[in-house]
Amino acid sequence: MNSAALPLYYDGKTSAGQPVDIITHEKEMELHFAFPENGFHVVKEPITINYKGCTTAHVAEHLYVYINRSGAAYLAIPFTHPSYRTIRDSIMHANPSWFGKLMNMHVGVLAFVFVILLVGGYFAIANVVPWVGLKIISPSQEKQMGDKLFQAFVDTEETDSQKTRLVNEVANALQLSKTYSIQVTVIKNKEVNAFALPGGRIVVYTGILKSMKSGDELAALLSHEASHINKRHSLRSLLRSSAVSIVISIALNDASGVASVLVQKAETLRSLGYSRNLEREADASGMQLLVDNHINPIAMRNLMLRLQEAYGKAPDMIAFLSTHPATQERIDNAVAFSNKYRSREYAVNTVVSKNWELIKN
Amino acid sequence: MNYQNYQLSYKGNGLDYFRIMLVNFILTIITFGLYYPWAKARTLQYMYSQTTFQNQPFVFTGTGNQMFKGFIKALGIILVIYGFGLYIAVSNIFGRGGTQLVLLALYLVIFAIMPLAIHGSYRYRFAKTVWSGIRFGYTGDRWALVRIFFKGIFFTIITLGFYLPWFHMNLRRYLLCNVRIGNARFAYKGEGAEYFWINLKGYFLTILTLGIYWFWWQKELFAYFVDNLALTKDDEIMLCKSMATGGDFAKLIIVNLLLIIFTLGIAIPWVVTRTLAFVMDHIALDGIINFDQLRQEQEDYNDATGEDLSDFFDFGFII
Repeated sequence: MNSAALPLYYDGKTSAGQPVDIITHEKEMELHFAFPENGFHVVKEPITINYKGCTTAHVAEHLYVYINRSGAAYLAIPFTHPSYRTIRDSIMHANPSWFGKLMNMHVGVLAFVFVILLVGGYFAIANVVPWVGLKIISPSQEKQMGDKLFQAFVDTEETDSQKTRLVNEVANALQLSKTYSIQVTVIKNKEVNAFALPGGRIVVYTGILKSMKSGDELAALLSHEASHINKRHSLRSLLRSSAVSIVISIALNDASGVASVLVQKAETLRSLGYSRNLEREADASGMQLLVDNHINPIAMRNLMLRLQEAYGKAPDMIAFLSTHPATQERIDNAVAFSNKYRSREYAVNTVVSKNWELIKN
Repeated sequence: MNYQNYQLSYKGNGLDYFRIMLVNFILTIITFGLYYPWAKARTLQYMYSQTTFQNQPFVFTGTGNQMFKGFIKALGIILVIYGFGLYIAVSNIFGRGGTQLVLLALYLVIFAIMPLAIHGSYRYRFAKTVWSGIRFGYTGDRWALVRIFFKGIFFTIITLGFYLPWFHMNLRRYLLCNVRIGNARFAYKGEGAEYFWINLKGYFLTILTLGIYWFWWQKELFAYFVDNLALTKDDEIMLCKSMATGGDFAKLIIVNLLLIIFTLGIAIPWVVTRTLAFVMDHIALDGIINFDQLRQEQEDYNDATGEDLSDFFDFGFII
């Protein structure tokens, strides 16, 4: 008999393996020793091993069966042994696990499931967290948050108190928000920029006021920013970006640097697309506000044209456009929107036009 | 016992490891991360089982259950420390100066936890490492390790970092000299001064050769680890020798990098497999130890708290 092809039993007490014969049953196997040990011919009692509780590993043409996890007694069965398959399958069936089931699947299927879970998880988190957050955070908490951000911002800036008063009068003369009280602050700065903070604050730079040619354009700007506030856009994107970045950082904790850089770039592009969607939404709802306030929504197109002109003169001063690309598309949308309301009568808003004359100078 | 050569090798393949990683990822995602300790156990079980010495595989006998318990304890320890620190800082009950003193004390506690975590990690990891039925073990004393750590940090700070190689070698020597397999023990004789010169030379030659020497520097560090390692049993000994050249390292690392870049990281399981095979293939072992006569002498140890704390602090498995 060729002892090299025999299974070897390691008892966990000494490191040498002992050759054994295996007899398999439905739920257990028997190991029979009938070989010389320490120079004497000793016939040891056979050992019965229950399949349940055994674990296996495939190593170098052998199936290793670990019988006792803590004692580390084990059996090495060559692939050529007649009972090899029976033992392997019996142990698998006696110890069902999700891990074992999944390990038997095709690697392509696993990769597919993995990708689906990743993409699904990403979208669930990117949408569910902002949705829940918007439900939980009340407009008054949002206002507190916006006020804190505003304080931090305004500390380093110089405000134009006269223009602030005039622009606020314009904002009050318009119906801009049902939920939030809109409060405008004008900052002395050549940059062509304006933005909204969560909870009702709008910041307008003197640079963007200079580039405008009518009170209606100012009304269009305020409507656009007020729409961001009404639709809680900044809170939504804040919640979304923080949820996504937390998940990405956890998921990529031990992945390679290359993958993490790629994922972050992809996420930046996606969030840029997301913010463009928010801009489109604010454009549409802002123009609706103009119509509700009896102002011709074509003012939105005019505003966009002014910004484009200003961009031609000093591109690096137009922060408003650089975060809002695809201006031509927005102009087209504004024209299309205005055409729908062409037959309407628009009256001149006296506060808007009177204050615009003062702001202009 | 006759003089002989011993064989160490890694028999795993990238596809198997890739499959294990995928299954682990899937189960970890759908359990919202709770599967992590079991995933780690599966990975270690696979890697150990594919590493063979004298054609006998190593066995990792730790379980996900043990590591999950350790994970919960480690989480508790972290939360208590950080929660206490946060509470002191926010409530300001000790006044301004008092708060700073308490926070400083907390930093010291965190420093002290690092060697304790390494100690726990070594005890658990080696108690769960089995070869040919014989358990490994770590017999170091936790407070001796804490002393080495504090001495190391103290001198590293006052020498502006120059003491670091000595610190590193003192730590490695203490850890490795306390690793046993059955009734055989490891010995390491690396010294801070030699390690310092290897690094100093490596640093300057790497700059002078525009980075090319870096691979030879890695070769020297690997050789300094392997060549100083030995295993002894009674009056028998097995010596280790690195067979890797700088060129071998250049090939390994450049191919690994290219694999990762061009597959966007998907090749990581293959890179890990190649690297493990490289390490095992480039260690030559010879001596007169009869491994058939190893006796079971190390006790079992089931507390994985240190193992999980090391995970939290992200220092992997230090040697």
